[in-house]
Amino acid sequence: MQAEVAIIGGGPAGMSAAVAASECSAQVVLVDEYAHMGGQFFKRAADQFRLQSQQLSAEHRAGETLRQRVAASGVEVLSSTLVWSAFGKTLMLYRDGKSFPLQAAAIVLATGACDRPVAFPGWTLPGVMTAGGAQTLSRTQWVKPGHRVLIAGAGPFVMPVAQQVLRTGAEIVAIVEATRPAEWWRHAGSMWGQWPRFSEAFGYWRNLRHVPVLYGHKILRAFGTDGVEAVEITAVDRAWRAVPGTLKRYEVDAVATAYGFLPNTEAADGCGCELLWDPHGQAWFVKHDAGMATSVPGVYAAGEITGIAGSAVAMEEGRIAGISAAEYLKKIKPAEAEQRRRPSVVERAHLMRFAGALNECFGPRPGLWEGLEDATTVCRCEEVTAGDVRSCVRAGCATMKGIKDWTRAGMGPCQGRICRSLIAQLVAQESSTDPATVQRPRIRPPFKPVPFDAMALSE
Amino acid sequence: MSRKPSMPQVERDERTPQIARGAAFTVEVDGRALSAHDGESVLGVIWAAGIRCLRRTASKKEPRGFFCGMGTCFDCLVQVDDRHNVRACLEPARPGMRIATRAKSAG
Repeated sequence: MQAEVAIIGGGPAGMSAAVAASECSAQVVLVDEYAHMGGQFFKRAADQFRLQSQQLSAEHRAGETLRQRVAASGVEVLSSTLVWSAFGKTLMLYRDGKSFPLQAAAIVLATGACDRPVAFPGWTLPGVMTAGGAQTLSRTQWVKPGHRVLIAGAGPFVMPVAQQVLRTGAEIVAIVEATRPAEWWRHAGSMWGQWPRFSEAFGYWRNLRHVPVLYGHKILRAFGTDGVEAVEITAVDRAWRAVPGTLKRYEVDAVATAYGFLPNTEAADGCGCELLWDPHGQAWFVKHDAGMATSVPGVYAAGEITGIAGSAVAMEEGRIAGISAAEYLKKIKPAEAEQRRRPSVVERAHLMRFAGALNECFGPRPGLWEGLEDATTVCRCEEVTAGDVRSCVRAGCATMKGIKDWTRAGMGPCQGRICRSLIAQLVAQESSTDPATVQRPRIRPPFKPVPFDAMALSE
Repeated sequence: MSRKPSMPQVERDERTPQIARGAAFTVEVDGRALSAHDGESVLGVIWAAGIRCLRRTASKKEPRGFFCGMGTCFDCLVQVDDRHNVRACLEPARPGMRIATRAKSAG
């Protein structure tokens, strides 16, 4: 299979890139791991659900419009298809039990982000889930994550999640927010002019007015035998370190954590793109220029993998990346590309002020990782504890690779996607260095598990 | 997406009567018949039935449920008919599916 522009990811960024590249008369193939385009932001219940308009999410209409534009653009969409490797610009795809190559002349990476995993005693119990997971269950399935749900995190993402969980009929016993409103005003200047965000926030505030919100608190531990039965939360200081003597306990059967997002950079790594450490997000993002070009010629990046900034920025970046990819293929002249990109470049700059303020205000602080008990699991797949990792570092093995070889952390089916960032933080703490200096593990194909026979019998 | 011209079959679930769901059918989960609706995921069916433990870990025999719900964590792997290691969160439920969790076995 061949594509002039291959787009990896069918979320806001990927769909926008597909439309933009196609408008510049490039032949586009969009590869999406999910059954329906939309990514996480525009995820929705399947067509078989007959939802009434008031049961649709706030972003439903925008998502449908973008999906229709992709459908009308002549872009070939490969759904339920995983990109499991990249050899130069040849991508290996896996779909329906079979593996086959896609030869691309240019690539747009739009692989999005997932919730930042946060470890605490009991976080592996059934019923403890990411906020994104709770949102998926409530919005796409209309299934309660639990009867009594506690949502703990930092930043505005807790609001749409809480609202959707409430709509399934579940009770939210508390929203536990790590920051305090007094810390927000410092960023008021960046919020000026971002009026749609305010009306959005007001809508959530009105719908959630009966839900108790605890500011300046974080989740400390979860209890239960076959599933979560209770949680303890604690007040925190500005660094999110627990304040002694401030424990509160809630009986719950589900807990959702929303402490920000981590970019899905496997495919970018596989393409050889340079990544940069972002201290606010405490994560590695894809390095890019103003035209969304990565360090690899012909490979572009858009959306959350370039920095956590939300769907509006992702869509502008998708447009920019799609146009740049078409320019790279000489489908349009540089001057025309510049002109086509300009509105998105201007809009992106405006939106980035807001996104930057959010990341500064709600980005993770050291207390999120400090004080992890030795017995607490960090690698869910291979059952490796914080203590295992620490003893490894103390024995002189302070690299991600060394810890993996010694403890098996990251060798299970999640391949380190969940534990990698936690382990990097533990290594940094234990060796008193900045996590930026902890060498990233090398990402090898398959980017996600693929049956061996499918790989071996690739076309 | 576009609505089909023929009158769709609409079913409701007693737990969420406000929601019109797709056609009802049953699937088998660990030998137990569970009601499901067209358009739901295997994880949706399992979680709605109150099943929370999807596997026991190999050495400590700890229970695990689903964690990310978006295909990242691979904690929700189940067997569907003769297919192993299927992510329950991404797999659409189909009539007559035989689903096996790993709640009893190790791994």
